[in-house]
Amino acid sequence: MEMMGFLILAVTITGIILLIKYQLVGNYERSFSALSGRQETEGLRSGINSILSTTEEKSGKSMVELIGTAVHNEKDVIYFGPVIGDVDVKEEIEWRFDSILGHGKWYLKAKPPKIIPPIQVIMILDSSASLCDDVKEIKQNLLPTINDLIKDKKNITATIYMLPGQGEECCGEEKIKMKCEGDDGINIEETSYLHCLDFETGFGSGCTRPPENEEDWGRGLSCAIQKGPNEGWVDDSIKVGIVISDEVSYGSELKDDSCDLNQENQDSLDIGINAAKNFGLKVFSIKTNTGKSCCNECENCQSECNICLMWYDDVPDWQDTWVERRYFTKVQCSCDQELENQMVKISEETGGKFYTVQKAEEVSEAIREILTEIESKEDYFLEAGNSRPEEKNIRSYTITIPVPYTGEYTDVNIYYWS
Amino acid sequence: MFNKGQLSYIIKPMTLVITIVLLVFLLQTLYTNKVRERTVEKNLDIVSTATNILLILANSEECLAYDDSLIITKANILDIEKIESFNSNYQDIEPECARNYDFGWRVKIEQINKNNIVERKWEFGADSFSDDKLVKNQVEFWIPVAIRYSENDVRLGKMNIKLVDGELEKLAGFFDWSCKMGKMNRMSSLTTEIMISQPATYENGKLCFGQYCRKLLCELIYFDGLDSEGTHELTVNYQEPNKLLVSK
Repeated sequence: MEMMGFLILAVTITGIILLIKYQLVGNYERSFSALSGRQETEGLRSGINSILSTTEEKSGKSMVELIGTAVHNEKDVIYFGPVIGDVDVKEEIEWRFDSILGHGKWYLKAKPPKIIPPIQVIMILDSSASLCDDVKEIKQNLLPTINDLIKDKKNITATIYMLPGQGEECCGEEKIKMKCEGDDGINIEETSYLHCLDFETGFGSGCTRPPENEEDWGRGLSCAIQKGPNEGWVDDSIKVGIVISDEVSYGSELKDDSCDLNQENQDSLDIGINAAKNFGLKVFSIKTNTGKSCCNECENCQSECNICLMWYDDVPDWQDTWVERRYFTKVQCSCDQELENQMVKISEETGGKFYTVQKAEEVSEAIREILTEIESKEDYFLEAGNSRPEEKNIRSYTITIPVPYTGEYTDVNIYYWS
Repeated sequence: MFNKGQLSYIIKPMTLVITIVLLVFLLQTLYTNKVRERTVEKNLDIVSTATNILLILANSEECLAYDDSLIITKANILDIEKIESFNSNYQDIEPECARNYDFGWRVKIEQINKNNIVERKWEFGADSFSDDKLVKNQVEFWIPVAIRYSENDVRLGKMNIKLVDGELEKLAGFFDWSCKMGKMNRMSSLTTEIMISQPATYENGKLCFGQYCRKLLCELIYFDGLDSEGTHELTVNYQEPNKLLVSK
């Protein structure tokens, strides 16, 4: 019993000692630690404010102005004319932060402000009758699609360019012709943000290299870039080209029963690609149904051709001209892969995307996808300092700075570790 | 071997001794912790004070801050004219705008260029501190500042403070505080007890511990120093325009 009493006493006193040691003094030490941490954070903030308030020697611009200009120009080096010359913003940031926070102990990142730029679309439409169903679909659904996107805060304008040689009449109850203008044209409902224009050939085109026929979509693209959308090109807009056709550029032809991809086809494609690349235009290509599924060589061919050739049966002289129909289908069939190759090439080289559709309704879906997913590029960041290490106590500070010329603001994120 | 009665004779005194040892250890721990607590509290106090002084210097328009109502954020932007003025006028005493009467301090401002070289520097504040033996605590750290020459010329800099808690600073602080209160008509007489570890002298407007001296705000009358270590009771009376009558 005596031993037990002694043990209880010893444990109690030891407990009191430990409590005093860790509770009472610990409180003060925690306060000290918290205060030190707060002072370090406040020191970091005021330090960053100080650094950003300093000016660059040659230009006299503050670091806030320089960072804002760099993210606006999307370049680390800003040229201030022949007298001042280049100012390397990254270098100016680095020596200042190295002096204050220490080399290798900080990281800064600033990105351009999130601006919703206007999206300007030029759409090059093959004007041959085989596109009738697709054009009718565009006539019906393009405006509602754009209206939906405008409701979603997108700023979109679209100008349709119909390739020359227009006028082929479409089959079906609505006997429209494949052209924008005229009472018998497709008569798409125009608004301030949707227009339809017919290409002219030759000198009347207003282009250096005008399109030469209803399938010359390579030159057509080049010409549309040169002429611009109805409202003209706007600086800083996202420029998009959409090419819709079922034939290779300049037209599909047969030679010795196989697709004849000749120099004209190649030249037309190259002109389109070069014009788009030089202008910074992303090209999205849509290959409509070429009738490949109707080819005699195809296996399991059970589908109807959506191409309008069937209408020619209405022409008295061409009734029962199955040979003509068969020939046309064979051309499409033979050149299907060549068309896909051309469209993939122009899309890949210009940063766009290739689509293939089987039904006219899918054209609208493809256009909606293109216009929905197109976004401003966000690949530029102004970065300086060292990448953030792991297993370090990192303090961060975000400061919002104005971006010159735009009236926008952007965040500069600074990370510091000791 | 021992029987139960004999065992009790041994265990009872042992329990008593061990209990006393434990209680002594408990008291010792309490005392040690109290000392640690005071040390931490003092560290907390001196670090807070140093930070506050630097922030007041950098952001108060009465001190060094550039006076511009457009600047909303506290960016530690110093006015070069004010820096030059402080550098000229406060070479041996702290400026009133950021004075602390418990501690003494001196500030050094350095302007840094692209190659991390100090281009220019300025100093102001106390020109001397207590001897190391008389110092209870001291800290030294810096904050970044921007030095504004003009709208298009703002340079990068560092502002460093050395803050000392010592006997010289305490005693001088008492006289300066009394002087300031007297000038503001808030005090006619003030008494305090001050403990010193070595004799103090007063000569030519300066209070000294050995070779370490501080300039005082007021002239001290009837006081030539404290000639012995230990605790002294001092009473001061303010006399316009700039005098303190001291009685020991």
